[in-house]
Amino acid sequence: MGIGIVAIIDQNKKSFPFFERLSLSWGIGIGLIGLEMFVLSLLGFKLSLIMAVGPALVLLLLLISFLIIRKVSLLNLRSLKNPLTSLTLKEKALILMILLIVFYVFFDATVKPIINYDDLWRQGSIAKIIFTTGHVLTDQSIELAGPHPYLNPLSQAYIYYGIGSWNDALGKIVFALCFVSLISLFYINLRKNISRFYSLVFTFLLTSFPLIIYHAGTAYTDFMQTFYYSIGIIYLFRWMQNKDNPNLYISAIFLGIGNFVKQSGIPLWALAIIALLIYIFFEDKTKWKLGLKFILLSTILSSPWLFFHNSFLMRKAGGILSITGTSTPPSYENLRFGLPTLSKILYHLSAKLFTYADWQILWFVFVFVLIFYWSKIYNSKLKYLLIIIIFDLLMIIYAFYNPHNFQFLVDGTLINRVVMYQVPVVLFFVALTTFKKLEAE
Amino acid sequence: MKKVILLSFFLLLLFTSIGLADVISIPFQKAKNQPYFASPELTIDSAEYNTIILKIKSEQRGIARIYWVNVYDMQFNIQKSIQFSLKSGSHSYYISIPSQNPNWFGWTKQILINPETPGLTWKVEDIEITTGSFITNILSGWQEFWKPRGRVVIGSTINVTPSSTIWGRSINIYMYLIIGLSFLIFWVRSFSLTKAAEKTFTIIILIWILLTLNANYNYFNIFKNNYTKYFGKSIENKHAKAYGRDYYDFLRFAKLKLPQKKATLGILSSLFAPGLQARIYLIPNVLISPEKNPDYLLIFNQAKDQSYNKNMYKIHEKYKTGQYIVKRRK
Repeated sequence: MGIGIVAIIDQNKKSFPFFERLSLSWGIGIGLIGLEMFVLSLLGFKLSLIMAVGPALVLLLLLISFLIIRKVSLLNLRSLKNPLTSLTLKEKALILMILLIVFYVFFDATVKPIINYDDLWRQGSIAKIIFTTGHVLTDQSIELAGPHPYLNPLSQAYIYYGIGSWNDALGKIVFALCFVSLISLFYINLRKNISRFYSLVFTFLLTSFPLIIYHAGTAYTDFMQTFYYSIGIIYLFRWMQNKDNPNLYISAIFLGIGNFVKQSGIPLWALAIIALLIYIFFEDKTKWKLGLKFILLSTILSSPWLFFHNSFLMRKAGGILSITGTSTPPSYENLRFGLPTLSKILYHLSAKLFTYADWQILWFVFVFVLIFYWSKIYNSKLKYLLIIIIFDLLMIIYAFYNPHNFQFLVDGTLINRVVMYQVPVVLFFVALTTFKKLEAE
Repeated sequence: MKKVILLSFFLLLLFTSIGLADVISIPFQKAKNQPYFASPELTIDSAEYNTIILKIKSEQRGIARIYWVNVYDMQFNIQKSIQFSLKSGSHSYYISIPSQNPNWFGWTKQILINPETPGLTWKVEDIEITTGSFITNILSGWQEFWKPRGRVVIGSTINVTPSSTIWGRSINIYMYLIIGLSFLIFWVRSFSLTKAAEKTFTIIILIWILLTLNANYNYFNIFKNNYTKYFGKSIENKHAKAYGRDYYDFLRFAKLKLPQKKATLGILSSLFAPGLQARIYLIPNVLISPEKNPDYLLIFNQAKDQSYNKNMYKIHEKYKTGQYIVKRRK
């Protein structure tokens, strides 16, 4: 289904070659199946393998019929080239290292059952409830999910339906596949601007972040959010670079599905829309219709969750529209770490970003690049990618102004998971900013 | 000029390494029926004696922790301790204590070494306390780099992954210093900020690749652990490994004996967070509830400070001594 949708978006076969289609199709496919299962459950249907796969197959048949009528290739096999031609020894070594990490992620995800805190009591339990009861919204699942959407447990439940039993180790293959898809798309998009060698170097560096590798082997939602958000932003930037519209549609689909992954998906999506509007305003006002299409497509896709009463958007809207004034203000007495201030937030944030192993030396390099490649960033479209990164960082700082959230910054229980969403984007930004200089060497 | 610098460096190394400092050898004793080794009561000036050299023979790789008490705090606790890795075989371990823990001060009154890896077969062969030298500091920093912090990451890094440290500081700090120094050298040589930045970026990539290989080494160790623990086992046996065989068997028993309808459930156990595994294993029929008096209580080797109202509950099903299910009276 994912491949069919990519083929429709790229009917001219110019934008996405075979491997890119394959990598994009995983995220789109599992996202749409999750949404479909959620909608069916909202409509009162009891979920099963047939209920999950049936509508998807019907949609796939329709897609294939459309593609045959329009004589559009599903896989774009003509774009397939032998990727192993004329590899240098250094490139072979890098590919080997990347493949070893991919192997490790698959092994780590599928060899052990769910053992971590949140995925035991939240995502893993909801997935089992969906599989055993056939319903997404039960008293238990609503209580366990809290404000978070359901794509993660739905995608695990989809695997359970496929194998016919509850196997929480195999259910995590979803996240390993997201990892493969992420690094493939990261490489493919870098390769459009950078030499093969440096694309491989930076893809290898993407596998260097212990927190990402660790999360890809668990059933936490943060890595899935990272996957959808990062790919959405990379394709949004691609469109800003080359105005090739299929990139914008792909971005809209990924960011739209991202709204259905974790509650933070909605503010991240909103920030991406603001960045897009800034781009249109300053660069090309004639593209406002495309901007509108982007908003519409991503909104429609995520609407089953976006307008669900428990979503981040509806709860915020409910809070703003509530005029009863009866709610009592939160009490911030007995705070473990005192009231947050900007200096305190920056101190703890920088300690977590610069001195832990999670991001290696990424944030130091990011600052380095900002200082020494400033003019290149300012004089290119890279400034819009930078705007998105800065928006995200400001959102994080703003979120930790809340005294309740501040403790999660100080004790480290949340901060790096939130930062993870944009780490591939930051690395992508660093790679693009520095590549020409490096290649000149 | 280079020769003079090298000679000065060598002499400095020599003078600081040769035993000008006193060495105190401490007669450690293994505690009866306990895995730890403890020193007799001591009176050591921690400002002067800051390095501990341990000779330990261990049959397996593992983790141990050294504790101390001083006149200000006579309790052994985690704040006054340092964790270190043990290799299999007989090896010397150098620990420059103040570089890894600031709580080494005042008169040190006693030292204790405790294994943290269960079932470790080990023996403390010799312990010396001395004033640190250039060589012992280097050895201490090197061994610290390989110590469990930043290495043993299974189940502990869902939120943050600590980096390896040297002399108590994150390895990243040293990398930033190397990068800064490289930039200065390139700048002095080229008088161009742009050229210096470009050349420094190559150094950055190399450093980053080294850090990545360091992380990959950790993955390799996790892989070995998980392979031994889980590979080739059925999902039931994987659960048993992950939850602990006894607890898993008890949960299986509970699943059979609890009603196949929604009921609230509480758990009393000395295990850490036992409700997590119980929830995922027993749903959707039971709802693990924070309420004070749930319909059923699972009792699994309850801790001494855990209790329930015995007038309110009656035994529902018994599995083993200390492992049973109670049901609330209507």
